[in-house]
Order: sequence, then structure tokens, then C-alpha cells
Amino acid sequence: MMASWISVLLVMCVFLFFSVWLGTRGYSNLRRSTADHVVAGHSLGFLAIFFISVSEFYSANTFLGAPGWAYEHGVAVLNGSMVGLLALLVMYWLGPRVQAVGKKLNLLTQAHFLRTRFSSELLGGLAAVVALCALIPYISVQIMGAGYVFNVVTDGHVPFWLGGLAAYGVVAIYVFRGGLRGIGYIAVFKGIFMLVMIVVLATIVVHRNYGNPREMFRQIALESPKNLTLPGAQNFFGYTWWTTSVLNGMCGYFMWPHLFSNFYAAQDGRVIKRMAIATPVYTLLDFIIIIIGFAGILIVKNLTRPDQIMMRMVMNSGLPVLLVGLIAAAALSASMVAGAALTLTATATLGNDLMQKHLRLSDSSLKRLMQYLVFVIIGLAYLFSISVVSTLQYIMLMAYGVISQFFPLAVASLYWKRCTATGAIAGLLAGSIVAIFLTVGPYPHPHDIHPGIIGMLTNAAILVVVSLKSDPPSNQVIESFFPEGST
Amino acid sequence: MSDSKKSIRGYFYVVGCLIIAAGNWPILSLANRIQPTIFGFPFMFVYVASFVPILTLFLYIAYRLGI
Repeated sequence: MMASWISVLLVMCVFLFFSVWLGTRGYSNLRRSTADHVVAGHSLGFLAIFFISVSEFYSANTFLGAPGWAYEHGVAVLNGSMVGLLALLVMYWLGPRVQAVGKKLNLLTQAHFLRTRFSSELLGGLAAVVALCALIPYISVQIMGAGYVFNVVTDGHVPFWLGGLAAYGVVAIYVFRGGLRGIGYIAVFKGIFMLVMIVVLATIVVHRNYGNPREMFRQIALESPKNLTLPGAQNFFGYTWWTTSVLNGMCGYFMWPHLFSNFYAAQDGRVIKRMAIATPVYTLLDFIIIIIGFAGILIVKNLTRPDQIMMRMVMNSGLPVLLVGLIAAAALSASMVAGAALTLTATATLGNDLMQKHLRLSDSSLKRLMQYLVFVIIGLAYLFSISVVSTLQYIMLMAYGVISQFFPLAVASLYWKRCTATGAIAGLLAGSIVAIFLTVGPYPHPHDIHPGIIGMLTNAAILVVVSLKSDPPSNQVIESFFPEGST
Repeated sequence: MSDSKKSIRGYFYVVGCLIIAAGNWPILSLANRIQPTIFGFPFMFVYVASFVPILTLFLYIAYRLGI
């Protein structure tokens, strides 16, 4: 009789082949421009852009990390949900303006936006380097998630390195061939598939171990009440930390380069507004995912790595082999779709914002270059994922503070005509240095305040002062970014 | 933009700021004191989940009014 891990592996392999088939459907010889490849020709409608975006929100970090946070910190895990919800206000307000400028000027990346707005190669290059420093470790984390899923559900028969390689070999193929359209096909499938699998899993886990969610929370309230209130079981989330991390996350959320580029892919601003309206409903998935982490609190004691709780609950719940395989495939899809979008943005940033000014390629050659860069980016991220894990976590920690430093620049770019390149560069550097120093320096998180917020305030102050002291930008650039009659 | 639309937009900015404030201290600290559970769920759980319909409705109204 076939061992159960082989059956699970077969289901996962079928999923990988299906992903290749689905992802390469986006390929067409007729679509040869970089804009088609990277932002689907600025033409995506509501459904495609909605599923691409929620697939990026629900990456391996969410699928494996959120239940882990619920297990370790209790309701404090809802900090992430609050960030995701409030960030939609920023999306509704800022997104349509970014989309309009992006479509008008055929922009591809966040660095491209800043380079164009401020007519500054230096600022564009700086933004591109920061983006790559944040994106590549993020891809590595997704690869680690995929490798980990393979390793756990096959009882260690498929090593971590091989699982990550197989999953991201598939990602490389469909990002190379399909670009954003290919990712879109898979994102729609993943969005529905993951939702169904999470609901099924949470229902089974809670039913088998507690009977119903009320009973589960009643037992947790009796045995571990600190998990149900702030600052959480580990006393990590005080009110100051919650507030400042929510504000930092809310401002910084859509400053992640891959989410910023999504705005360009929408066919018009109304699509983005409709997405902001619909996304809160999908956010309910957060609450279902973290219930699995809560279920583990009383069942799995003293787990040294909390992010293992999701798969531990899957393996401990006596589920049929086929269901374990499907849940593992859902976890893989969470890692792979997010990783694919990150990879596409990283290749566009490297190709369009750093290499193109030296190579001066035609549009079709630039697109071809970006396609080959997929293998370079995934190769680099893969090497990081199997060799420098502790450094990666360190880089990611800093990236969260630094990425939010783009927020004052994005707002000033679209709402303040007097903002200059010198001011933007000075603000970005000052804010980033402050955020990094207060994250990894000798005085981390002073008074429990998120370093990103202190960095952002410093950034905004310096941006304003230096902009007012420097020469105003040319009218030609301003006219492109500010529609007639806007302030 | 007409004055009435500017005025409506102003109100929406204020409500948006109130929603953001509701996600933060000190309102949160009051919510956190209601324990351990309500409707069988932790109060914080219900509190954060209540933002889903609030935000959807708020943004939908803004969208319909062309803001």
C-alpha cells in the first residue's frame, strides 16, 4: 500500500503542474511590450486586480505566520487585521491618483514613479535599490514557506531545499511566460481555493477538538485568559505599540513596491475604489485563519517555533490524505502567488530602473531582459533562503520600517507641487536612517513606539524644510502629476 | 468642485479619521477591558471584525457620492 506521504506528494505535484498550465495561459506572442508584461497594459478589471491584490496580502506569512502569532500572542494577532483594514482607506484615497498618473505616463514601478515625478535619476536609483533590498528577502521568506510545507507534509522525505526549488521552479516558468496576466489567472484560482480550504480546515479542527468555537474560547478563557486580551500572552502588544504599529502599517502597506505597482495595472480609478470597498469582506479570512492558531493553544503545548502550529494542527487532526494534500497545495499557492508578484516587481525594478539607463534597450528587448531576470531574482532569493536565514529575518525587520518611508514622498508627490527632489531624497534618507537605527541600534523601540512612525515624522519634517529651501520643480513635470484644478 | 461636494468630502475625511482613531488607543483600551468573551468570542475579536461592515459601508457611500 502506498505510504500516505507519497499520496500527499502526488496531490502537490498535480497542483504544481496545474499551476504551470494555468499561469502560462497569460502568454501571447501579440503582447510584446513591457507594460503588457509588468502591469497587464494598464487594463485589468475589478475581478483580476482584486484577486491579484488579495493573493499578495495572503502570502505564506499569513497562511503560516498568522496562526503562529495567534498561538503565541492571542488576540494581539488582530493588529495585522486592523492594519489591513485601515490601509484600505489609504488605498481608496491615494490609489486612484497613482493609477491615473501611472496610466498617463506608462509607469511600471514605484521607483519609476518617483524618478519621473522628481526628474531625479538619483532618487529613482535609490528607490529601486531599497525596493530590491526589501523584495528579495520577502521572496526568500515565501520560498522558505514552500520548502517547509513540502518537508512537513512528506514527513521529511522531501528536503526543505528541494521543496523550495520545485515550487519556485514553477513560479519562474509562469512569471517568465505569463507576466502579470499569468499571475492573474492563478490568483483568481488561488483566491477561491485558499478560501475554501481554510474554511474547511478551521471547521474540522475546531469541531474535532472542541465541538464549536464558543466552547474553544470558553476553555481558553478559563485556562489561558491572557490570550484573549491585550497586551497578549507575551505582553508584547501594549497600547502604544499597537497604535504606532497600526499607523505605521496603515501608511506603509501600499508602499510595498509590488502593491504600489498594482495600482498601475487597473484600467481606471473606479476599479481601485471598488476593490477597497470589497476587500474588507475577504479580510474575514484573517479571522478564520487565526482560529486555527487559537485551537492550538490548549492542544499543542510549548511549541518552540509558533509558525509551525498551522501544519501541526493539519497533521494532528487525523484528516484524510487527500485533504492534507489539498491543504498543503493551498499553503503552497499562498506562497507561490505572492512570490510570483514580488518577483515580477523585482525584475521590473532591476531591469527598468537600474539597468535600462545604461543599456538603452528597445521596449521589446527590455521586456525580454525582464523575463530572463526572473531566473536571476528567484535564484538569488533561493540562495538566500537556504543559506542566510538569520540575516534574512534581520533584513525583513528593517524593511518594514524603511518601506513606510515612501509614504510621505508618495503623498507629497501627488498633493504638494512645491515638493522637490532634494527634499524627497533628504527626507527618505533621514527617515530610513532613523527607522533602521531605532530598530537595530542600541535603543530599539523607544517608549514602545514603532520606529517607522518616528522615521516617517522625521522624513516629513525634513522633506518640507529642504523642499522650501531648494528651487521649485519645473512646471512641465508638475502638469503631468496634478490634474487641472487640483491643489 | 462644488462647495457642497467639498463640504461632503470634508465630512468624509472626519469620519475616516474617526474610524482610524477607533482602531487605536484609547478606545481600544476600553474595548479590551470587556472580557473574556461576547457572543462566545473574545471581545477584541468581535471589535476588530466590526470594522469589516463599517469600512465597507463607509467606502461604498463615499463611492456612490463620487468622493
